[in-house]
Amino acid sequence: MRESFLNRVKLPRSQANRLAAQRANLIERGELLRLVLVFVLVIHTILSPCVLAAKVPEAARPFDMRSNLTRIGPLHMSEGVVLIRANEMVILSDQMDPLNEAELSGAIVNLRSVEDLTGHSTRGTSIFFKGASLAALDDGRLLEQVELASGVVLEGRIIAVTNSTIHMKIKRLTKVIAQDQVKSIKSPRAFQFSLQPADRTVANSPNNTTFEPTLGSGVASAFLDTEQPLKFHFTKHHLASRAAMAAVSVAAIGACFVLPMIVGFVTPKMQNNSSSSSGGGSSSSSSSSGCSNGCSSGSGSGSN
Amino acid sequence: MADPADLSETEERSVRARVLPLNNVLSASARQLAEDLEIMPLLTKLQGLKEHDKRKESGQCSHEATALRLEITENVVTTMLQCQQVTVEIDSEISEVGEYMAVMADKRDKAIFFNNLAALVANGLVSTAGNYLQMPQTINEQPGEVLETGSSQMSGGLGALALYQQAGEKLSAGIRPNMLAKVFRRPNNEQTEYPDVIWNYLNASPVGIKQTRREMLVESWEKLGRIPPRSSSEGRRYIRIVSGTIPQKRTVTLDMLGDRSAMLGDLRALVGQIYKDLLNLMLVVRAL
Repeated sequence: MRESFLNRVKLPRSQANRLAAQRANLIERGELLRLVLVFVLVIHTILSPCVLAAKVPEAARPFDMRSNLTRIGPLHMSEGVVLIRANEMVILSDQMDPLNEAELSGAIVNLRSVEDLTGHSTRGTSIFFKGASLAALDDGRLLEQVELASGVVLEGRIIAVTNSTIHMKIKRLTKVIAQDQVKSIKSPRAFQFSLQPADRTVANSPNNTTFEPTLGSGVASAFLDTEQPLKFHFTKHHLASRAAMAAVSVAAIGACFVLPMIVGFVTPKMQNNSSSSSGGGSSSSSSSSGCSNGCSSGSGSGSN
Repeated sequence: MADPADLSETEERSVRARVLPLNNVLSASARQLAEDLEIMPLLTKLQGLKEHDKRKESGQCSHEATALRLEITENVVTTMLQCQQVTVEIDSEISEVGEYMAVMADKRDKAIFFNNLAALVANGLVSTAGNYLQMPQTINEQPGEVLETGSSQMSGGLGALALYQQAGEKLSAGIRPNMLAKVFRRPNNEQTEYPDVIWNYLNASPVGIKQTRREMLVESWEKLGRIPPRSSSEGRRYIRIVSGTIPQKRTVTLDMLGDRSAMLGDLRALVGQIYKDLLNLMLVVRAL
């Protein structure tokens, strides 16, 4: 198209050269873009199986430890299960639940094995970040305390835990604390735990799993304001929302009548050439258009 | 031995209780309950004392028999009170749900009433006015057409609004587990905990059936469509909503509250079945 246009229109040589150069440049860019796309496609095709292969073993990786659980803080679980993998901890209230629907999931700080009179146990501090029941432990507004070995107490919110560090948001800054410097953590979502793996060879073996709240039993924000939202809905008179609703209703009703008026004004009026062709419901429109065009017999013919 | 057909239920049982082994006198579920309450050895001991006739004639019995009766009665009364505790909690939850439902239904009815009123105005008054203005004698028909079109649009909009209002309000609530939470294996709190006797009773299978009472109950809810299948993530989410174990963001609806109320009612009826077995136990104790 462009070539024919250039051939048809006689242009000065310099301008024609410039246009030809632009065209060549565009073609070159298109080729380049095509090459890039092909490259991306090839790379994606090659790497996708590798990425999947890398992900699958992670998901299917077995848990290092599994123990039964009956209670954590204010939550009672008749058939709860604790699963530990590296420094991850997952708590399910029903063994049949998928891992992504866990009641609580989070990380472990200071994970260690202890051998004492009661036998071998795994201890540490767990901090939960996700889960369906997290809102029962923590409302996200309470400040958490991390006491360091030096005696300094930091106040803020713990946002992440890695194998060796704790990331804490203090006001607007994020502080990274080495785990070996941490003396204690006080938070409604942090628990000091002691786990003994369930002995599967013994039926009804005693369950020695314990989760002790780090903030004291009476301080946790669990089950606060449970009635508040419903009662709020029932008793509060939302004046602002009522006024807004009234305004919307008036606007909607107004629109119902304004719209047909606008349509009536905007729509072009038909010529009343053949009054006999229009009958019934269309007679009114033809008659009115006839009148507006100065036809004196329009109204009469319409009604006839 | 007297003809069993002429005897009252208690007397017939007393005759049988003195002659037959206890296993044949107690119903299967009462025996299960007696074993759970650990009163089976006491009953056997009481049967071995054979003091029924003596007690009937003189109104007195030995100290040992009195102590045994007292211990059995204590157990039974405690179980009755524990059962009562569960049913009272369920009842209070049902009444609370009923209260919320009544308020929500009232609000919905009021909204539907205003909607109907608006539809009456749109369809009746405005549309009639529009029709009058379209009569052949009128100078200009356009206002009439405008009114009629406007009223049609209004009634269409109001119809759509009525469909929306029919479902009622959608409210939000915090975490507050109810007595269904533990039945669905969801986390519960101190207030919604079951006494061991009642929990064991719910987790025991009735004679001749493999499933436990709790499993049968949950399965019946699934079959009736009160909850979606538990195998689906939607089903598991609805279970969390209906048992109040997750924060509810605009998920408290009339339908959900209706399901919750009905399921709590079923649970209450199942827990109440324990009284039948306790009566069976006490009838045997009286007969011995």
